[in-house]
Amino acid sequence: MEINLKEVSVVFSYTKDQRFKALNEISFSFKQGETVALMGPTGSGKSTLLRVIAGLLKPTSGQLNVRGDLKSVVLSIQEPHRGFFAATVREEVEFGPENLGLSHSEVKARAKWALTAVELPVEKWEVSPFLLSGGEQRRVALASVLAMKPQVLLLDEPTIGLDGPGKQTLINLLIKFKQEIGISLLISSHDPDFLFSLTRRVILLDKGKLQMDSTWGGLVKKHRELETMGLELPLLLRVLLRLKEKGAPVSPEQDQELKAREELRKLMKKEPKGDGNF
Amino acid sequence: MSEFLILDNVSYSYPGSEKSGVCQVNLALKQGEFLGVLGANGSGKSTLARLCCGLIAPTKGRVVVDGHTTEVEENLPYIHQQIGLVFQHPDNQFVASTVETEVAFGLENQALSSMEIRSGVDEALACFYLSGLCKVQPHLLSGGEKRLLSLAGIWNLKPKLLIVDEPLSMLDPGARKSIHMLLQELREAGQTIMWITHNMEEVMMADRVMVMAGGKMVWIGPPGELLKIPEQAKDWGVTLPLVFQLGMELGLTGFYPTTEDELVSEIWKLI
Repeated sequence: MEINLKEVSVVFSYTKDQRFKALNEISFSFKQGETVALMGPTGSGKSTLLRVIAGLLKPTSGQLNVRGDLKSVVLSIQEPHRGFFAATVREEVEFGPENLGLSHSEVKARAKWALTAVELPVEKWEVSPFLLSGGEQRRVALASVLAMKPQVLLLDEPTIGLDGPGKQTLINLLIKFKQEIGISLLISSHDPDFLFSLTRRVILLDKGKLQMDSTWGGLVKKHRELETMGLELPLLLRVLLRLKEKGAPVSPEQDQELKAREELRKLMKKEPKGDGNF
Repeated sequence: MSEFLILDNVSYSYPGSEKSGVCQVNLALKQGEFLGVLGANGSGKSTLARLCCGLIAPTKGRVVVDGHTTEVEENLPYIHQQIGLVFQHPDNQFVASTVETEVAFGLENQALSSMEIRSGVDEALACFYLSGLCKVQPHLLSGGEKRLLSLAGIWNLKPKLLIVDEPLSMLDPGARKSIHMLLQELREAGQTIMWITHNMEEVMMADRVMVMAGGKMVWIGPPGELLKIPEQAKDWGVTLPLVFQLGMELGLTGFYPTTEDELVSEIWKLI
């Protein structure tokens, strides 16, 4: 499975006279098994880009090439409760696999697997999805897309409305799915710390243009440009950068969260606990 | 300062549910006060907001807004004028076909002159960075822009109590800082604010924060005091400020950094 975008542009026409270029000649590739962060200011085109890749929006110009099955590319939208329609959580999750033309027993099995995988308590399975809390709804939405066993999962702002434990659970679940089913992830978020815990590669959009396709370490070098766009580095990298600017012997150009923690630990001469944290 | 909002032993259960959404909450909010409402997903924070502005009536207890109880239906128009609630999901509150008419909607319902409406709309659009999008349909906006629009529409009505439910979600860090500063300015101008969030970082400048867990109010006090019981706060589902968490991980004992500057200076001192 490989996704290639070549000079993809999307123009929205609000009125006859008012046209808005949401995406402006975006080109990049995305390989099987990769996890990529998608960053950019509010309105920079992140959601539009995800909709194009999911096949929900046709580019005005340019090409989207998917090597593999397009049905294996699935998007989890920004506010998942807006997509809910079924009477129960189970039916909501079964809808996706049903539309893939799978047998009744396979649909049931997949829904059970997905709801178990997102660790939603069994007593909630027959409840209306509209009655769940925001965090639970996010899990149902994730189960709905997982039940389709995608090879590429596109997540649009998956942490909105999630509390601290909810966010940590999501991180753990995504790491598990990556390891167990080799799923590729493209995640858009305004939360750099969440993204840093999952990815090494970052695609940066601003005003519909691809400004950078880099690692987190590469982004550190361009932190001033990032600030101009109203964006931030993850806290760990910000702290390392500021310590370096003060003269501390640290390298803030770290591509992985674990390595960044290690760098700070070396400076503080602290031994790690088993989980990699201090 | 007089008490503007009183919750007197308030409980609420959703129809068909035996579990209480909100359970025996007592609160007195003074005019000009900034209250942070913290808690995990599903702890009853949003239900509490709906009770405060009379969108739902308590199953038990009383909610009194500026001397008017929400139980009496005749009081509701007055109460709705006093309290502006910015919903967690902005789409839930949009009614108009363009950004501009959306911002104007509330003012139009206050029977103001067209000049007053025009100037109110222009001020709100400029304040919330929406001037360039005034003719765009609300549903075509990005998530963050929708959030700005939902805040602008309610802020424009100048409610005595502004309740904001997760106002910074969907916003990029730049917009978060701007909205944060804007709400801080409102607070300094005497606006009473109830700010609902699970992220404590957002309400560090609140006068008091209350913590909800399982529908109950389990703690209330100044935010700095809550940081003295971090493990308990985490158990209640409060997301502690990231800077504070990193400080804890680094073993900065006896010192509670709440800003990045404090954290960096402290590490610098120790190395």
